Amino acid sequence: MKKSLMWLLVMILAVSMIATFSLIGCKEKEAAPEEEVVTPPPTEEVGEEVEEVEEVAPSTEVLVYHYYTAGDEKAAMDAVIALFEETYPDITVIENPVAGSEAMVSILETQFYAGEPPDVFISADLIRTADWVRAGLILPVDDVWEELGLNDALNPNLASMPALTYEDIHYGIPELTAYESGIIFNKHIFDNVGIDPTSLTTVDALMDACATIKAAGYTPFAMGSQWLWALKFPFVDAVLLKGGVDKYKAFYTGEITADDPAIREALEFFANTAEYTNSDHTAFDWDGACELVVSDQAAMYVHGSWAGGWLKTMGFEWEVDMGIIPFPGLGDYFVMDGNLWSVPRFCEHPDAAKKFIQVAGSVEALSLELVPRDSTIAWRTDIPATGLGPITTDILEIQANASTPVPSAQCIEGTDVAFVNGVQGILQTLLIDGDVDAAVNSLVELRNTVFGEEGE
Amino acid sequence: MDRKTKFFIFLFLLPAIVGLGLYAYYFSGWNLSISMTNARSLIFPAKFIGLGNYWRFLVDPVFITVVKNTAIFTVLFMGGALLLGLLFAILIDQGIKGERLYKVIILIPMAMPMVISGVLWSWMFSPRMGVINSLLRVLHLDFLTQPWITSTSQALLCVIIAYIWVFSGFVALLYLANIRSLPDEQSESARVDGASKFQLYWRVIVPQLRPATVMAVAVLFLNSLVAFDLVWPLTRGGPASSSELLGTFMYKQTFQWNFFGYGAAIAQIMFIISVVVMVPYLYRSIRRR
Repeated sequence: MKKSLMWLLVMILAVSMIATFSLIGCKEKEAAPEEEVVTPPPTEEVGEEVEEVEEVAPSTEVLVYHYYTAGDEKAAMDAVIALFEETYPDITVIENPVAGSEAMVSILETQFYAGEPPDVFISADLIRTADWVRAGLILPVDDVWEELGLNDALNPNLASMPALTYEDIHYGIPELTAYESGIIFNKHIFDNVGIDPTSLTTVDALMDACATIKAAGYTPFAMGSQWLWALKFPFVDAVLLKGGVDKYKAFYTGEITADDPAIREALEFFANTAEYTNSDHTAFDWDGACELVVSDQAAMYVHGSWAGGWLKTMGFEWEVDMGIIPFPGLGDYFVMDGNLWSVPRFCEHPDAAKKFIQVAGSVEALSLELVPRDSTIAWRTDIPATGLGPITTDILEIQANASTPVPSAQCIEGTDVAFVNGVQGILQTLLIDGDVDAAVNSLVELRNTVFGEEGE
Repeated sequence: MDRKTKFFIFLFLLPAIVGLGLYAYYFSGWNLSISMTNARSLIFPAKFIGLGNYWRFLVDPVFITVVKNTAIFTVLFMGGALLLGLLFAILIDQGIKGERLYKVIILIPMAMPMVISGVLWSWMFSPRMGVINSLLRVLHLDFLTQPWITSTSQALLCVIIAYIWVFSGFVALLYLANIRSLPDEQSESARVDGASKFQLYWRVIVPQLRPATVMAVAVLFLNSLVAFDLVWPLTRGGPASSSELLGTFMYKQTFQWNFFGYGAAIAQIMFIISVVVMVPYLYRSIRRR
């Protein structure tokens, strides 16, 4: 009797395992887009589909992927989620914070392939998000866009950002943006060496200041290149300085190579900053570089303006301990990135997801976010100025004085994620070995690989 | 064996066969097919390019660096882990008090997730705030402080040290099991003949540790080939590709640069190397049985 029972149990186990595997297989087949590009439906169909979704799938939870894991960013995200849960108490938010936008995008890529994406995600890697839009993997959000009044409220400088609109259909709801062509400075160090940071309006003045700061025993530029993307900021500034916006965009879209004199000059300038940069930059990330500033070891940090918010979290006070100036010679440019909320087409709770981005993109949510995230600005222009912090206020002033909006490298229409990341790898080598010729050769080769046969 | 028994044996094996078939062979085949395309995404259609990605790897400027680093890593890591493991095994074999505790201590690194080990070692090797340099400064041995993971000449060494730390405990237990399985009479005879402890181990015990060594070499070799999870938090293959291994290079090409076809080809090459090494080992093991 016992023996028969055991056999029965074994058979049940085996059959259920086979059934499980079969079900997994079926689900993959059903959900995975295989190697077929899904064509985005026309607007009319989109509207119908959304209505259908709302009727069929009442949601009780929403899975949100974001990269706001610590400090001011986490506080801002917590505020948005609290507002959403207050607005929709029947919907539970399940957060999945992933450290770093780059890592999150890699995870999302495989989830899209498996047909199991989250309900909502935010992305700063807009080129990759734009690929997903073109592949038909992102739900149109025209209805939310209308509700939020974004046609009137969107900052026109940001209207052409990738992944926002494709074939006149909106696919993303904008969140915040940051200023990327400024220098955050440590006021104590500048006071100690007797230099007024606002006097650094030319590159020569900047380099002279670096020499003085170094002679006084400080590190002029903080850098943390463990994640390579931090190297992008000084290099983009150098390219803009030597070649202007046209050369900058042409370089990142493969229209010109690193052989171009302007790019070579930019590389030389970048290599020359090595002597003024902490030599252990590969040991830590951008927040580690912030620690060098906050501990009075480094005088300046060429990075996105969110570093100011991070320094504030670490106890630095705006205008007392730190400040920001445009990179010398780039006062007319306002380099900016963008964070965009998107809803994947095959997500489990599209209805709840749309409700979430409607809340997240509202004036109320963005105003709440900007309290802790003083150092970023909203894509919307109708955020009441009364609640803005001093860093955001200063950045808005810099924006008002700049005549040319410039997209960050990963937001240039026509660039490629492989090129942007590849450039950063080569920049790290250049900062270590100072070999400009080798860097030029590597960049030319990279450009040919990405935008040549392989890139097509 | 009657038909009923055979049927039930098959039934027992079926879940494992299905699992292995799906997760090992099916995905290996899928990876092979991707490796022969110019796939830049898992979503968009890709063009068949034959062995183009394999050729591209051979002419890639980083190829020499990656292969050289992987070879250096494999040799030093395996050598270090085997020697340290043997040393630990011999020390524990002395019948010291608290043997179990020592076994647990040397096995803890193996039980820890590799990513955690990587982060721990990055704190150890950080030149500015790391434990090693801080300790040296406290001891007024500043002249001995090193740039460690930030140096192109030391980063790979740091990775090797961390890997040896993780695997030497495992090797020690393999050796210890082998030593304990040897007949006591041999050691007794050697002692009666006047052999010193060193001679006993060097001339009698160590030559008989071949089974454990072969097993350890196979495991260590495979781990050196797929090394990634500890290297990534420690150096990310840098600075400037100085600690780039096959695993990190493959990851970057696939998930950071979106060269899915190329990354699959590198993974396939890693698979082929491991098969070339493992098949003779398995063949010999089966023949011996």
